[in-house]
Amino acid sequence: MISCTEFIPAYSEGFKFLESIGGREEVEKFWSELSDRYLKDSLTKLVAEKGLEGCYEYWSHSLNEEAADFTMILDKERGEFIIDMHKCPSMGMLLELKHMIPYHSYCDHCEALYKPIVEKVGYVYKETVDSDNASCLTIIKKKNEDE
Amino acid sequence: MADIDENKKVMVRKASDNEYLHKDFHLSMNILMDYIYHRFGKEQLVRYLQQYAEAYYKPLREELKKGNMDALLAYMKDKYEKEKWEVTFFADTGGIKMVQTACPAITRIKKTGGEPCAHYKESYHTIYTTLCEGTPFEYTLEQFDEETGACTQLFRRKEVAK
Repeated sequence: MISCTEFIPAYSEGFKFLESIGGREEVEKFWSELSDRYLKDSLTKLVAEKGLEGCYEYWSHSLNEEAADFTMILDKERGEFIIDMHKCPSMGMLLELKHMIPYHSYCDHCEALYKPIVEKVGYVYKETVDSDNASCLTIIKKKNEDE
Repeated sequence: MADIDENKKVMVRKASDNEYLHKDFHLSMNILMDYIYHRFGKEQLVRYLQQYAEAYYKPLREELKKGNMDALLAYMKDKYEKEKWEVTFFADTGGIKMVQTACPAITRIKKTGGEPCAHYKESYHTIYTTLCEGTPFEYTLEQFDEETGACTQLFRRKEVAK
């Protein structure tokens, strides 16, 4: 049994396995399917119904359960939602497991999962990642007309 | 959480503020297994689980090679404690027996309206069989109920098992 507390290493090995079979394209196909299936009843609905407030609600739940180290800001006036991830629990765990090598582009899965969902309802998703330090900055904001 | 004003919300958390327990990871794991199975078949699903077990369990497998059953028992107890899932353990010098009335992953998947991958059982059988390879132990999965994941698992020293 793969416990939920041991999922991340299994996930990372899954990406490696898929890449060994079908290259990066296969990994991306999986991420796309995961985005559709895993998030359809949660983030997809919340962001469609509540916009950035829905993002705040979704990540309030998941990041607390994942015991992440973060600052999250919802600024309705600016039409902006920010996650400043000081230490990602997933990448942090992979870096701590010295006997395992993380999938080389592990952090890419977040953008692959979330970007299509928020962009579908008119937001822009931008992410800056520092995977060596398990940190990242995600900004979701209203699309300007010039974007 | 701080609502600075009605237009701004800020949440600041340290890792130590919360317990690490995100049960929905079981859903993602199931989707991954399901994806591999439907696109590439059972053989590849088993290969993936073997690859994972070989990588993740390397330190524990080294302990098992030395005959250290205590390491296995401590690992299993810790795993289910973190998962907050009840399992009954029976241990003696010959091995470890683990009895559960349901699987935490299958329970979560079904509770959220999902269906476990057709070969979900392999997340037990393949993984722990791989863990025991090249060690003085062997793994047996008995009475696995596909609906609930209720099962009895045995890790036995090979000389006792014969």
